[in-house]
Amino acid sequence: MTRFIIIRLLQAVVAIIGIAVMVFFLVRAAGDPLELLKNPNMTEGQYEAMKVRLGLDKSYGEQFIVYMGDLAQGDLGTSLLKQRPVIDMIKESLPNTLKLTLPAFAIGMTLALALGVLAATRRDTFWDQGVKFMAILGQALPGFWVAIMAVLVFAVYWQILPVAGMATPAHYVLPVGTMVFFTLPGMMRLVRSSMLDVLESEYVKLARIKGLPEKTVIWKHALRNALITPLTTLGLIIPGLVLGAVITETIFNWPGMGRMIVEATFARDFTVVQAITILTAVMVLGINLLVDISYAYVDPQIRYEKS
Amino acid sequence: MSKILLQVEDLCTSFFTRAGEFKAVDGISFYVHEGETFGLVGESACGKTVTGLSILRLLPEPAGRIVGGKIILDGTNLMELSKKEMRAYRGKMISMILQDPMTSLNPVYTVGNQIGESVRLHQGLRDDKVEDEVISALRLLRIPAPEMRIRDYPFQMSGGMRQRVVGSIAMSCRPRLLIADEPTTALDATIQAQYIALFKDIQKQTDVAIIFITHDFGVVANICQRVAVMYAGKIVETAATSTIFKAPKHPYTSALIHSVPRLDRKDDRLYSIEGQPPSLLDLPPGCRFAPRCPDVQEICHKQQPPIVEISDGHSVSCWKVK
Repeated sequence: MTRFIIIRLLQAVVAIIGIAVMVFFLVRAAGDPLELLKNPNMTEGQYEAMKVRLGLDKSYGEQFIVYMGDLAQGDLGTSLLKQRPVIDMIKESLPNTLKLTLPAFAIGMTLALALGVLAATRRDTFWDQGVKFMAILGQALPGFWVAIMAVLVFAVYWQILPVAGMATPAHYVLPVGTMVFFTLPGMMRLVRSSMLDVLESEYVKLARIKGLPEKTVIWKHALRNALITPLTTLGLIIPGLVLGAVITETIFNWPGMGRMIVEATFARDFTVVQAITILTAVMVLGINLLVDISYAYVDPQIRYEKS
Repeated sequence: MSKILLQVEDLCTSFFTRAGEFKAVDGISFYVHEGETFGLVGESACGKTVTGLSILRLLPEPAGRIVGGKIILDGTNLMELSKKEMRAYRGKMISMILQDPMTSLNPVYTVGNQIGESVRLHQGLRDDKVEDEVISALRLLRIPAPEMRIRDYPFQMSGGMRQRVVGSIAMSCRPRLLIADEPTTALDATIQAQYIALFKDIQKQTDVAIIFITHDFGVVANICQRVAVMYAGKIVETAATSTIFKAPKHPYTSALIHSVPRLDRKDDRLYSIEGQPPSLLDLPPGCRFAPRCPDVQEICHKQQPPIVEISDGHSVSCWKVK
């Protein structure tokens, strides 16, 4: 297991270096930030001074060396636009993003599990049809559209929920709901189909032959096996959650990292875009590693192969 | 002869699907003595397994249903028990061994956990006692070093060992009746012989009655005292094993016995019965074996033959026998 974790960590470092290199060149392909920062009242001398101060007077090659060097020391640089260390800006916005994504993830996964099991154990009944209908609807409708419609209905027509911001618990309802919408349907369908497969298995039959009550058969014998497939795709859901955060924070004017990267991209604020991209990559890779470890926990066969 | 433990009377089990009603088991009757091994023989899809699952009342829901008959175990009609009462019988009074040891154990729990679960449920023991019972169940099936194996997962064991674990689970609460559904079919020939010898031994120790479901008359000869031959949902012949081999009366029984490969005969090719069993959706009005029967008469196609007891414990359902 330790060996497995070390290998995965090394792989992650290589992946992060690759992402850092790619994002460096991609942001520069978006255009020159100086065009946006240039003030018509600036003198030629002031403009040149600004260029030097931002480090944009150097060639791409030189900029790249400085960037990678700083990165190696954990320095994410200074925002071109706001003139503040990027790390400080992230310290403000990351907790806001987590306040949105963590409850959404917890609610989404709990509901996916409960509804998936409900549908599978009551196959072809009203409950199952309901879950299937919800899942198809959830996967067919674009999340951003549903969010805007929800704002229209709950905040504009009925005025029972606030439109945007994050002041009170009521402010969390719509954005968290939107994020749940991004993760729930796919996971729910997966739990259902995986559970259906397992319920047909011989060991579930044997568990019933032993005389075990149905709740032990389902929650002990079936569920743990049924979780293996959804767990592998959990790693794929995390990037979806990041994307969901970008869209949700933009719609609800939520001061998190998602909105920050959108604003920074429009402003061609290279350092901010680079920093958030790299940080997101680190988080996604870290969660994937955790998923792999939990996978080994659920399935003993994997635990034994890897040790 | 010892007491009758299980009496099945006119059992009918059907599967209701969109295509119609499949009469998987259509009015069968038999009995099993205490401590006896009773063989239930027939080809695939003749209703053997469904009979076993019906006794446990564990048919795949909602399609499968027992539509008639009585299943009396030691004086209690299992059909009249509530779901909860029936659950208390499963694993404790009646157990079952499934065909494929590779899939019938749960891959994510240890062997000890899977056996201990039954013990805890039916015997209400404390944890430290549970482990002793688990080890004794493994020892009953002659699993070497049971103290070590209880912490193993199924994937760490061979097929033969896994089938012994399945046997340990079935025997852990010392049931009165064991339904063994082709327990040796998935094992190779040497392991098969060992497993059967093991069960003969266990039966001597525990006096458990066994319903041995198989398609293999060779296995029947080895372990069963009495045997019933099933064809398309009906029992066509019931007799003591020695009688069945010496004087089979139903043409289907003769054909089945004839199709067992033998080393002492020089046959060029294996004997096989012409044709296919009838569809359970569209059964012939007369004898179900008539379309494939070598001795078919006119009446066979029109009317179902009655079950006739021709001598003590030997009954046949065939127009040829009067």
